[in-house]
Amino acid sequence: MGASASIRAEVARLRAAAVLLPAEVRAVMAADGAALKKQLQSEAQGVAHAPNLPSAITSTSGLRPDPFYEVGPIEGGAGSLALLYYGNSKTGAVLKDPRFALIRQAEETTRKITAMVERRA
Amino acid sequence: MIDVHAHAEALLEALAARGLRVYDSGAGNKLDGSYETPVLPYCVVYIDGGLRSALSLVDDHEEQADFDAEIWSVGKSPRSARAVRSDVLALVGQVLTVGGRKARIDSVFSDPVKPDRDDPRTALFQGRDGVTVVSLQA
Repeated sequence: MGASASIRAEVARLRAAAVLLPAEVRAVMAADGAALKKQLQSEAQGVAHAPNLPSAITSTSGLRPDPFYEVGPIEGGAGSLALLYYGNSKTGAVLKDPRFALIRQAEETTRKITAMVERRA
Repeated sequence: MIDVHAHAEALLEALAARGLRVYDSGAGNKLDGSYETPVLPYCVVYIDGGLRSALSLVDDHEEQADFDAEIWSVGKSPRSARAVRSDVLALVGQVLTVGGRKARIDSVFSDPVKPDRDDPRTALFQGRDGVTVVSLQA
């Protein structure tokens, strides 16, 4: 199976899980969204000129109907400091790219939901 | 105790060994600690988002330590930035030997070369690659 076919199959499994076990999947998304928020808040600490950035990072999660969590700074105020993450070719980023944490958390979420479905089968 | 800083140095040196101009945590920051006006094309490596002090957090792992690095490939033209990036990507999957340990370089994300729109005065092109260096006992 190629990489794109594998991803499509994974997405199909997650969608099926959301239909089969909505309460359980919702709980996993809430817990893992909170874990990702905690990680990003931890990584955002210690920037001298953005002391309020960690508290501007929030998370939402649920089913729409697909499982989701969204984590990041709220726009406005301290949450507008996107340059700290993305930088440019001269200044560089101050904070680690949030995709490192997101990809790790998403892999963990996928493992949990896959295991739930397999237990149910 | 795992010397994570030695791993970071090994990554920088592996890039330099490919003939790339390598800057550490900011364009112009040479590996010997001195500064020069950035000379294109180049790559800039940001270890753990440029906050190296955070590396101490993983110093006490026994069997395995991971750290993340962003590598930006920068050029005056898309072609030159892609050439740098090609050399950077050649390191993915390779295993470095660091102080008797094996350090594998895994790809986490990859952004293709595009214009650096944040600073139109410079008219530079850059690609970004996120890698994790996984240090394992040899």
